Amino acid sequence: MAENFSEKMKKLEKIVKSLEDDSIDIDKSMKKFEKGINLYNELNDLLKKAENKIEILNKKEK
Amino acid sequence: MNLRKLTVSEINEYVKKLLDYDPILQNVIIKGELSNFVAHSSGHAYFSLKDDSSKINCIMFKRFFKHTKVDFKDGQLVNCKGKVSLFKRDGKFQLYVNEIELSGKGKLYEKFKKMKKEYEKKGYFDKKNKKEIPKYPSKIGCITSHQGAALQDIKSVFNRRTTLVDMDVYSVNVQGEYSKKEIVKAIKYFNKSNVDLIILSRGGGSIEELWSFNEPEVVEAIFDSKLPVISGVGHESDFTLTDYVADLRAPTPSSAAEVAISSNVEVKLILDKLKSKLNDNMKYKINIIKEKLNNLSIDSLILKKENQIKQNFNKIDNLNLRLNQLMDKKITKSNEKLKSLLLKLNHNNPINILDKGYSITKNKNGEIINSSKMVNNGDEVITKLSKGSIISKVSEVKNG
Repeated sequence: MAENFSEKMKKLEKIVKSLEDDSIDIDKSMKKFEKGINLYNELNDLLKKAENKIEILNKKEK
Repeated sequence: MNLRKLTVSEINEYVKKLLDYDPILQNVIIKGELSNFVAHSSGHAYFSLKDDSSKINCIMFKRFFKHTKVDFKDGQLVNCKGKVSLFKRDGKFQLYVNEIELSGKGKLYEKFKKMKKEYEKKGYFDKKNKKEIPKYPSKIGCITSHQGAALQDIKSVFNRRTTLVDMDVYSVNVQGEYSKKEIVKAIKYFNKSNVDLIILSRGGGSIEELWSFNEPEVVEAIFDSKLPVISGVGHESDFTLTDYVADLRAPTPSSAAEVAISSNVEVKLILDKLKSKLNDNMKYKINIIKEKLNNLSIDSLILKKENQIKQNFNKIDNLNLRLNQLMDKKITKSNEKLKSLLLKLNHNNPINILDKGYSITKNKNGEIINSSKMVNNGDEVITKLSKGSIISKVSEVKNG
């Protein structure tokens, strides 16, 4: 689960930044905005549902 | 008192012999704290070694002392190798030192300082070589002992702060002879795995216990690591070369975990900030579009058309002006041509010929008479001269 988080976070940051660009037309902007909101919701869900996994790799060797 | 009386020299000589014949005293290593250290201009060094309750005087002759490279100072713990003998003149026994080195901590500390300087020179600690610590790591590789307190500290920070990050722990000996090899192996292992960064950690300890983190193999493995490494070794006051070469130094294992991961609370804050920025940016965008639409109102259309017409008028004016200019030019040219024609014409004016004595004769009808057949006897003709004219009557006509 957590694997996706940083990727999605980066995507969201990118979308927010791209909307600052005046040259993108309204259709594209709306699509980006929608995608951003979806990402936000997904990230929020991940944040609520995620659980740490701590694993000790080579315990047996010791 | 039946004993034989001895001279001072005799007794000192005797004691010296006793000491010199003792095999143990001929080759000893004595550990102690340096005091009253004097490197004499003669090249010999004089000092004493002491511990909590005792002291021994030492001398190190030039031929031995010149080989030492350490800058010795009072208070340093040293090991001195040499023999114990008596200085006959004063009746004092002393240590004749032939080797001296900083002992334990002192020795390691000197080594640490020397290596630190070397690696610093090689650029191992340069800022430009530091890798960026990822903001939202998904998985962290932790190198520490699975039995150590450091791991417990790191785990508790993890469980308190985040639910988003996984951690693989590569258990190693954090001290002792296998330690450095295992640490290097672990760093290499994680560089081939899917973790985003490495925490290298152990709890506090003496400089000897922390020494693995000063080993060149470890320092170089950290420097060569493609993944960023956060060090959390010992306590706040402990510094190892690992701390210097790591991409980020945290003073303790717990703080290493703290800087490695963003807490859920922080992530939530950032996430919400991103959302409101997303909204703001979209609103701004919509406002720009609205403004553009407003600019397309009827009034502005009329204004635009008016401007267009104005521009067309201007164009016509310009054309007109150019036309006029062209016409003017043409007229001027024609005038000039006319003048020159006139001049030519004047040249050939028949009136001018009259001046030379020629004359023109016309009949009553004003026709120029250029043939005798045009007149009859008795006709009146007018002859124009250069000055004035003559009216005459034809008295005879000769045809031929």
